[in-house]
Amino acid sequence: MNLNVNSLPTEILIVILSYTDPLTLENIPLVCKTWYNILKDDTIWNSIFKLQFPFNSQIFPSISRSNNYKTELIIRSHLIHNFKRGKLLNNHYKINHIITNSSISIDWFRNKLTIIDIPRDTIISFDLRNGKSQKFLNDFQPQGITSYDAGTSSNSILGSRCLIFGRWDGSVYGALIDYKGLILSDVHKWNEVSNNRITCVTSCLNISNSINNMTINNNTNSMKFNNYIDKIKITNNDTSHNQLIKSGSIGAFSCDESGMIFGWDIRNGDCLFKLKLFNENNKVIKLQSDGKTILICLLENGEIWVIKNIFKFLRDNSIKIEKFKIGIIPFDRYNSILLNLFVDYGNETVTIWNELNLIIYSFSIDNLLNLNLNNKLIYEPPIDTLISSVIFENNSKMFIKRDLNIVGSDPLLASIVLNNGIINIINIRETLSTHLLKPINLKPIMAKFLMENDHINYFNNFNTNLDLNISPIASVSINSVFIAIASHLGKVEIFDLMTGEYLRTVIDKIGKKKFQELENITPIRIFNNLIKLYIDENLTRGLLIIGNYLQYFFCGNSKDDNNFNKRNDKKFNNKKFIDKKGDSIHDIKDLIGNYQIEKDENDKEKQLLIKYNGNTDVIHNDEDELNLALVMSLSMNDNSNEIENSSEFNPINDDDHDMDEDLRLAIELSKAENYREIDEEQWEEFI
Amino acid sequence: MSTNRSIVIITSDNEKFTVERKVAEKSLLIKNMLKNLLPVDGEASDSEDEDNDIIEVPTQNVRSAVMKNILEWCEHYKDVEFPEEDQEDDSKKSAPIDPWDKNFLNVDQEMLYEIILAANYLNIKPLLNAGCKIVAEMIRGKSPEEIRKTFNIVNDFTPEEEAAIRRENEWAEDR
Repeated sequence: MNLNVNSLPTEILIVILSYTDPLTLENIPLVCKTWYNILKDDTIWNSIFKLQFPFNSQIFPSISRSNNYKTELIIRSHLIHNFKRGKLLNNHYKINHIITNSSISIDWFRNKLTIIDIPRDTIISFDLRNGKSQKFLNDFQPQGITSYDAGTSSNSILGSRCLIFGRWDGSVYGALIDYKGLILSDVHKWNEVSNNRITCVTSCLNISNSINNMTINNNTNSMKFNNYIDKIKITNNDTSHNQLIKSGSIGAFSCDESGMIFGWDIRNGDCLFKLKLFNENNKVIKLQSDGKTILICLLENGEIWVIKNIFKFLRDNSIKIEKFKIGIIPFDRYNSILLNLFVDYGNETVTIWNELNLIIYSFSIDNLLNLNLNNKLIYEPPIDTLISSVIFENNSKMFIKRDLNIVGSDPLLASIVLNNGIINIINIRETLSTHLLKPINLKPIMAKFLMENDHINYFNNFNTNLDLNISPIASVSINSVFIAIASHLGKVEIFDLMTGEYLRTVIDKIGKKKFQELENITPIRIFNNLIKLYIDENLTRGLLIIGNYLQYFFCGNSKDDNNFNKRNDKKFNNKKFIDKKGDSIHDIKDLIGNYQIEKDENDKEKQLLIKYNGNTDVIHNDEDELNLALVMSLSMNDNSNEIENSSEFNPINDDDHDMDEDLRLAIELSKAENYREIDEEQWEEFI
Repeated sequence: MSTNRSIVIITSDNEKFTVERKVAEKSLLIKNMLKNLLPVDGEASDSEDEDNDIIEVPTQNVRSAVMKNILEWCEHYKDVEFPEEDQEDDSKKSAPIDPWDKNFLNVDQEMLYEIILAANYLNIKPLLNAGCKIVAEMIRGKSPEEIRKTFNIVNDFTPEEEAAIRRENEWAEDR
């Protein structure tokens, strides 16, 4: 008998292969035809996946959003491997601003952190890799605001959006914010003025201006992990790209005291839609919309309404706008103002919660007439506990329709943090029923630091001083694979979301000194709000914010880091970069999109100029204004002077002015040239 | 006592091994076979069977050299209760190989495969898993060429085919 490993029956070979680490498995098909053929079939990968990741249920969020287990297994293993064993890069920065109740968004794709702090009237844009504060803008907001919105803070939805303020006198102010968090125009008053106090405003967000959606080619074989990040594409099917900032589409809503709802074109501040849908007695206290399908209104009495056909109506006036009641908040009406609302546009549900329970209502757009309000899902915390916070997946899944072909059948997970520190994971895309919603993870996730003495002591002191019922967990962030948990002492631990397996502690502690410093500056009462934690959906990195300290962490092997740098080098070499077509073509498109808008604005001003051509004084004024605008737009763009200098003398100096900085500079310069052209034309005309 | 009764296992090359019942029952195949032949707590049948003591279990697929090893393993673990299969799932993946098993399975590749095949046939899950883990260990972290060398596998791809697979499998090539 001459036995070879290939004489073993296939099912035993599969068991053997499933014990091998997935990183080696990638090589297996190259060994010989037998092994190649075994691994050609995705059912094998499925069984290997199940052995490697023994989840409780068939439902799990897919990181690859692909329909085969091979991709999912390999990407997931890489990510988990990186968090478990990868080299930890840990940078911390200090900024001159205490971050509390700000709207924070992180563009992981470009390493940009944008903080829009309305209460303190400040906008900060920040580069996470080198710690350069790129822009600081103060004193931009109008007086007497009654409501504002700067986009969401709990999810890293990125792209152009708008900053909107509603005032007591019925006027609405707003400004367009570009994908980098820079204000493209000044905050200015929008055209339509209502006579009533504005009760709420919202800036729409949707997938078409988010980069976090991944459109990965479902054919795994064409994928390469190291290029993985490049595959995470900006979703801009040319028609929908930056839809919200196109003229003629609604990018923001406001509602006044009389129940009148306004829809705004955020580019020029025109009111596109105005309709009285509710009356004075029942004010709208919260609006939310994805800017393309529906508008959700939360009324003072706790009713949740869906308004349908607004966006269709804009295209075709014969379509009737309709409103439907889809749910009622069964809590005390005064509570409802503080109520938390999460809309899953993709699966057409609304989730609301307070400390006692969480309720999911469904609104199926095509079936609103037959809606049954009793058809809902309820989650109740275990006896003797309260819900202290609910955190949803940090990605843009909520804008995408549930795709059952994706492995794990595309759930949307939420982590429920209980006041005893235990974390349950639920799937808010479960089918509605009368049953209670049950956690889908094997066992509740419990942070290790909860057992540590100094945390217990600290927390007990802290809690008895305040006599508040808050959770020993300061902040939580989840994505499709991981959950990161931050303690009140600034410790961050990472766990596997589905299995609850502890992976690593990424940040041990923020120095005591810094904490004391912080406690001196800010009253302890808001301490709980000082710690914020975000993790990236696609790579093993995250950001912890404590007051004015930012701690950026990245886990990976050095090889990945090298590739990371290499990629940036590539971007320097423009020729090479353009040769590599598919890679960042979207990046460029995005920039072009923004450039287009800026150019359109310039054109408009140019037209204005021509209009006033007869009068010399006016022209001079306009020129001054134009120059002023130019200077402003230059100063707004991060250190463009510096970059100009460095790019002249030492083009490959450091990696902080990356490709998109260069492009931006180019755009900036060409714009400046445009201005010069205008000037020359004007002068020619004059002389 | 029926639990201590001896079982005679006959291998494919007609060698006979006499072992304790509890040792033989590490094999679920033999255990199930015996369940039908000999109810464990059948007091009545016990006395009847006292005379024709010898129970012979034929195992046509296993030769004596392998069976010797298998029985050594069973003897070592005769007092260990292994958990039911569905319960062990969770730890299965990460659990390292038992040092005793590792030492025990430190045999030439052919014997290792024979043990795996026999463990599969006799339905001895822990031994099968240990064997598979040993083989997996031999694969771990190796390049395709190294794997071929380790297992004496002939590269049966034409260069074109190999290039094609490399291309469709691009991510493997980079490390």
